[in-house]
Amino acid sequence: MELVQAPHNLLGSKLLSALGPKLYHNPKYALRELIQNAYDAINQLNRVMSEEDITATESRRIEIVIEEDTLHVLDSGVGMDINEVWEYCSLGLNKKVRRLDAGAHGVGTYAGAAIGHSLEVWTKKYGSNEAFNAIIDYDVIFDNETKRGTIDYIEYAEDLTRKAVTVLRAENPYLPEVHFTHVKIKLNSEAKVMFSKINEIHNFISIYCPVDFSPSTDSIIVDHIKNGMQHVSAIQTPIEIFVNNIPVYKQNIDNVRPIKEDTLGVDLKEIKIGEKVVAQVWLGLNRKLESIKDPLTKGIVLFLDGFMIDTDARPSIAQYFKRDDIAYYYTGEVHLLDSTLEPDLERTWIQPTPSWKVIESKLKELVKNLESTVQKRSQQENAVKSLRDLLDLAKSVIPAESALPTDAWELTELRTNLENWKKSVKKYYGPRKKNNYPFDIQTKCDTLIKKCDAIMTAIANIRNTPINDQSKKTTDMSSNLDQQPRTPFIFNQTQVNHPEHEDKKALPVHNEHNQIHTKENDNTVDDSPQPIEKSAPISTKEYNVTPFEDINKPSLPLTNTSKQIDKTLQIDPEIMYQLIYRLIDMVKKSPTESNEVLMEWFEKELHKECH
Amino acid sequence: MFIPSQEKMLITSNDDFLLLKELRNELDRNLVYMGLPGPLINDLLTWSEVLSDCICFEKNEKEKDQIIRSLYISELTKRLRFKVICADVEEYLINRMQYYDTPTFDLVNLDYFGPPIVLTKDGSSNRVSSWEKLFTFQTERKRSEPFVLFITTSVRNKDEGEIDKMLEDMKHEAPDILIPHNAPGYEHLKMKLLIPYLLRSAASREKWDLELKYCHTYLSKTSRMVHFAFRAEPSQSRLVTRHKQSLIDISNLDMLDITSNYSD
Repeated sequence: MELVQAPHNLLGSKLLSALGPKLYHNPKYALRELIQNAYDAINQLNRVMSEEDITATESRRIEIVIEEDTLHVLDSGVGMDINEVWEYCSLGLNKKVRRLDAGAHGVGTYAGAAIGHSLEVWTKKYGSNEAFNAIIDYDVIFDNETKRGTIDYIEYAEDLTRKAVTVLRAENPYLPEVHFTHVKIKLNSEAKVMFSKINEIHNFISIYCPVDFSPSTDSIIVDHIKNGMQHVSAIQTPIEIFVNNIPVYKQNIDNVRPIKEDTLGVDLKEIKIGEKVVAQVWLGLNRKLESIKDPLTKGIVLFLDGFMIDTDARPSIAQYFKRDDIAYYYTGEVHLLDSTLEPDLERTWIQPTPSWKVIESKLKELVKNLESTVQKRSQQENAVKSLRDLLDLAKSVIPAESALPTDAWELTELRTNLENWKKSVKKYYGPRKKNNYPFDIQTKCDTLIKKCDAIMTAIANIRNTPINDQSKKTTDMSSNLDQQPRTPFIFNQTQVNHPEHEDKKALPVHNEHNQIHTKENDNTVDDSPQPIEKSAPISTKEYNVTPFEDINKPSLPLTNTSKQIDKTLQIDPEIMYQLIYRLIDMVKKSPTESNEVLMEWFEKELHKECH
Repeated sequence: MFIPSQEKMLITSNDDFLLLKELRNELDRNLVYMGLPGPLINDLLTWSEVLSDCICFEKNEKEKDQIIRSLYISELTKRLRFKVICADVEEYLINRMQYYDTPTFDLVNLDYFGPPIVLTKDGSSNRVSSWEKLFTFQTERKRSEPFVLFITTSVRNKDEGEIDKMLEDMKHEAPDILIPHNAPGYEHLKMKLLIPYLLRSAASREKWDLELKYCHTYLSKTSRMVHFAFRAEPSQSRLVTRHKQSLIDISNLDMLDITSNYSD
């Protein structure tokens, strides 16, 4: 291989003072820089090649090969001629075209210093018959850094580059149409550890190297951004990145940063300085005001020339605005279109130029506006959701009229639930309106409450116990549901069986048409809940039930009819139970029957039995 | 940079490729390659349609980098899973292959640039030992399918009579065999007997029935070369495998002298 002498005036010194092995604090950024160089080379090829040469199906592939102590990055980009090789190896000389290429500083080559001792590059330019091999010895550069400041700076930089860089005309066994760049870095010990964690590298590349646009941006804006960045041809030939044979990233306009989770406020905005559009922005906030789980979607991300400006902890905006929530609850992209903007060396933030200050303040404003919009919308949505939950709850709480409970304890519990539910509906819906679904349920609730009251009143009158006391007692019981066994209401110590389990011939039951018939003739299926069988006698004392002798005590005047019950009547408790069960059956069979009619029937029956 | 001769490329693209196609059809899947493809990876380019994985060895680091580049430029990286190891294949087979987490190989292409027998100080040959280790590896990984082994080597050998001694040993085993003249111009014929003889010993110990399918010779820019194509079948024998093909059969096999005007 033939040694190529360095030309004069090609060795830049602009950023030498900034150089050092710590040029990139995180070795991963060095990898990103190398990928970015490869990406730029492919984009440059797209600009150089005639349209006929670019086939839409041909993919542009960046191949990363990680070996035990070596990193290879290969691209099928435009390649370099001898002048470009020297530019590539020189310090701080950038001849890339702003707005077309991602690289800005001309120190991408020295990114390798953060991860290795030396960099070797093989390249063949598109349309050229020559191939070149250059070697940069980072150790030579950084071992000499201490001498800096004692000699003429430009001369020193030139001299240093000459010492550190060797360029050779390489063997060229390739076909004329072949073009490529192959970068190889001998890894340092820290980088060896980092690159041994292949999965982390895969994740890093898949998240930090997308160069596409979200589908949320409408086509006009996408075209605008694309045209601005000359991405059209790049999109025709999507870039793929492979690491050790495994595909980790494929450029795809429809498939990057998808909004997979419910997001509010997604809207495209333009940030302008005067008439000039300096940024395209879309922002969104998680609908539930929860952290977005998808790492591709999470956070607001800055893009400059299609490349993400971000830190490893991601995303920069959250850190910069000192707002952690931006990193988790928000999603969005900020595409910077102003050619005066430049990233810092690690591409974690933008250099503080005047236009950036304007963009920054407008961005803060947009975030603030989004917050207030989303908060309002979120409150409304929460209210609607709560109401929906309430209605679902109501459906489960309110039984069919034919399925009313048969014991007082359950009856009282139901009544309490119905009352609570009514209050909730009122709270969320405000004043009552006609033909409104929740109030239909509320009406139904009212009917059921009345029926519950009727039954409870009847029971209370018979027992001559104030219904409020009874209701209070049972409500207390309902609050101790877990502790108390659910036991049907029983009036005395005698074991009582449901009338249906006894000789039912004696018990006339009202059918749906309020006609009395005997069980013998009843062929209908009774699907109402069956009362729980009592397995053992329970003392009246335990349940605070008034003994039969105290029946003369005044009853609660809930209904007019209940007042008319003759309190001097003497009745066998057994008969009274039968009457109550018949009353309950009537309520089940005739849910539309008014309380007055029911009570009237009950009193008549009661009188009959007593006489 | 090592550029294969036209004759070698003829063999690679004709007889070798046919044999590999047969094996691919027999196994009903693409093949796993292990070998020394050389920096320009001509064999991989020729056989790529029957390959799925390739594990490439190259001792020289610059040539290893060239292999990576060649794989990428030829776009074989799109179709093949590859691994390029910078190591001496013999040393790797002897000392490290046992730790290598890989399936067994369907195709082993040992395309040596140098002579077949290089003796170490203790009188052993690393090359022969590595062949033994290759069969051991295939057996230990419980390979139950046949595989193909190509060996290409030059006939130059600055030995001190070891080859003749080995051939004498072979004569004890197969007394009817004819040993070529010990004169210049006959070395390739000695190789035709010696290399299968050494490989058969290694294979039979690991229960592989080895068959020499064909052997060719050609003149490269620097020396005369010999190329062998073997097919190894797993044997059911519990002890040492007896090869179906005898040494006499091998001796009677024609060795074609390939020239660039060779046709199939």
